[in-house]
Amino acid sequence: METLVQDDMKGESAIEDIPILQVMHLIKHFPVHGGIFLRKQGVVHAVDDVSFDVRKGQTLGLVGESGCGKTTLGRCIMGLYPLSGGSVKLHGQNITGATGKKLKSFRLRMQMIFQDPFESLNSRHTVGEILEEKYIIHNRLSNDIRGSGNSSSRRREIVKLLDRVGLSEQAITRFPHEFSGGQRQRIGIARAISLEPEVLICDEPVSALDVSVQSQILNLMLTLQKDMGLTSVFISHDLAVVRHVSDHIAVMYLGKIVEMADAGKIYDHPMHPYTKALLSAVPVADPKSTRERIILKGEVPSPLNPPEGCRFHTRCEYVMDICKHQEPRLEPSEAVILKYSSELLNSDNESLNVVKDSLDAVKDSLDIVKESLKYTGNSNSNSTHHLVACHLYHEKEVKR
Amino acid sequence: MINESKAKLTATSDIILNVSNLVVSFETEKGRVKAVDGAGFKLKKGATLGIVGESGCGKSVTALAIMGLLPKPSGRIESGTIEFKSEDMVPLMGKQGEMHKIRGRQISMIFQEPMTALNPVQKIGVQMNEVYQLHFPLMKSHDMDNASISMLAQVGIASPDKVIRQYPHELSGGMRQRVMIAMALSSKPDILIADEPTTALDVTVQAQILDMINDLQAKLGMSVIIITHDLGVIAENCDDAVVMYGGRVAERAAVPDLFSNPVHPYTQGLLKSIPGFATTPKSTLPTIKGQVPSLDKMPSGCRFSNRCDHVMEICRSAVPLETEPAKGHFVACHKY
Repeated sequence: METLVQDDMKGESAIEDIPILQVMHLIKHFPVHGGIFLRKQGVVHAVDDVSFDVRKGQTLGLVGESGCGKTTLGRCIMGLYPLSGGSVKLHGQNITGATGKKLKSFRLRMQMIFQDPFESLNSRHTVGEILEEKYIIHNRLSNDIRGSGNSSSRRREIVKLLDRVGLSEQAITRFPHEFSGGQRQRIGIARAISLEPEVLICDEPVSALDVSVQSQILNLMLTLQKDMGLTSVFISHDLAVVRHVSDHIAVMYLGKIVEMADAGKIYDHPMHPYTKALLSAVPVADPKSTRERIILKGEVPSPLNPPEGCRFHTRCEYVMDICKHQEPRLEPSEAVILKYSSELLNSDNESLNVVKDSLDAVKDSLDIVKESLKYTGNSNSNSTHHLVACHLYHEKEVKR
Repeated sequence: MINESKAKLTATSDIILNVSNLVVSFETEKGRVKAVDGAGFKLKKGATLGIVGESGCGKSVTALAIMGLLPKPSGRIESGTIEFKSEDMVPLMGKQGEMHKIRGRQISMIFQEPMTALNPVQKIGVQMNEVYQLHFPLMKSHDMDNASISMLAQVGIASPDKVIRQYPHELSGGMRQRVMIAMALSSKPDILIADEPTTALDVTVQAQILDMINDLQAKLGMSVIIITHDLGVIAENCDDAVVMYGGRVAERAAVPDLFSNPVHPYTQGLLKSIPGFATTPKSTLPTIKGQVPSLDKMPSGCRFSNRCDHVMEICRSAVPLETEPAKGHFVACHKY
């Protein structure tokens, strides 16, 4: 039986704590060519030195506004773009720059769901053909024991697959245009899970859908993830959706991660000024809500020429001198506690109030960190820290 | 602040736009379909009305009908009235000259896609001056430029004298939407209709734009209709809201009432199905089953009947009439 294979795979990775997907110092620059001889005129810094781990069965949410590099990052992880630097590891194996057979064997274990269900399905193929393609391509290659070798067994698989995503068997002979947006996204999901991957990269999977359909698709994705033990990266600009599906969240701005922590922590105690502004800008469907809204000034600078120092300094209301020339590192928020206790209480820094505000947040996160240290005994995993890249929270820089 | 302004706006003379029983139909391959089927609502002077619904619910078509911009010849107003300052505009729709005096002068509209709504081969200044050329033909071109510049400054564009010499593609999405708003407001209209003004924009830019619309509304004393699919935008920016489904108004009420006490099963489902910051992460979200049927396949009777959890016999046969279970809170559902 085909389902046995899945169970076996689960059994293999009994060690729950190793990261399935590791992204290390990933850099992606796109050269811009122009002029008569199409000379290189500049570089778009789409993703600049991004690192994170995703553990088995967990979801990392990537949020940020358009142009922050989240989609590029997703595509780089999938190997759809060659990297300009850094590496991506799957189960500790470096998959950077893999080609041919090797790349395909990684693709078998890592799949992607795309944003636009109207464009990501071939309009001239029936749903059956779209879903069958995967089995043909990967079967020929891997010669494995999935039993998807002939057309009737493939059809059996496809029917099962359609049932799993809530579509009927009749869908096999129909074309994508005959389906609504939500149903098409179900087909996209079916295609992504057909080979029972371990990692799923979801690039804005529900952004193009209506509200009432969006919740159906989110429910489906959560169920599938639980059933299949999928590890996933969920890219979206919708903070509420990301919060709903993610264990950890990374907030991106202009190609860099500015803050990364457990989902709840980011939402309850955002630390980076950008995260705060982003969260406060989301309209909440509650007229009684009394949140204070932070309106950011200006626009996102061009990634062709990102600002020096902290990339957010041109729009930050707490900007200090240091922000303009020194780039803040993404560091654990324990640094804040150090800074807070030692220096800042006595100083007359303008940012004192800001830091005071986040004191409670820090205390909380410290408790959680301590607790998790007790459990895992592992202080290096990014999942237990609240990482933030901002000079407000970094002791050494402020002292100068 | 919102509540105060609402309290004094109850007399009928304060209603600037009154749409009633509006029916709009389109000629399609499958025959004439009614995209809007008996929609009605009132816009109070100086207030903000939100029209919310999913794609295909007829919210944009309603706006186009008000503007007299229905695609011709396929779309037409079958029946109903659109009273602007107590005068029915529907008979004027056929006469181009009459509508010109109102459209862009007294009622302006901004569109979802600022890129497609602006002419890509004309400079911003030229496009902005068109409004003055049309409605204030005696104005000198130098004055037009100055008026455009001051309008752009009002919508928060940093260097307006530079922007009027630029082309739309040189501006970011947020800037383009600001230009659109500046254009729409340059004739100091009484009503601004904003059709998904921020859907194509990022949340932080959306916050900037909505904030700016609110400011300008207070400054210019105009009424605003915001059309959106985002209930959050409605909750934060509108005084009254209209929930549309399948071309009909399902429910309309003052925003605080609608959110604290939604009565139509569709509104209830819609509010519950949004993952909010308060919902338990990874929990199963309540959903509305099925999907919006296409206009030619709408069920008879109540159009929501095939997706409703509270469906009764009567829902499948009779169209529910609008009732008022609480003061100022209207709903079209057989339950009430």
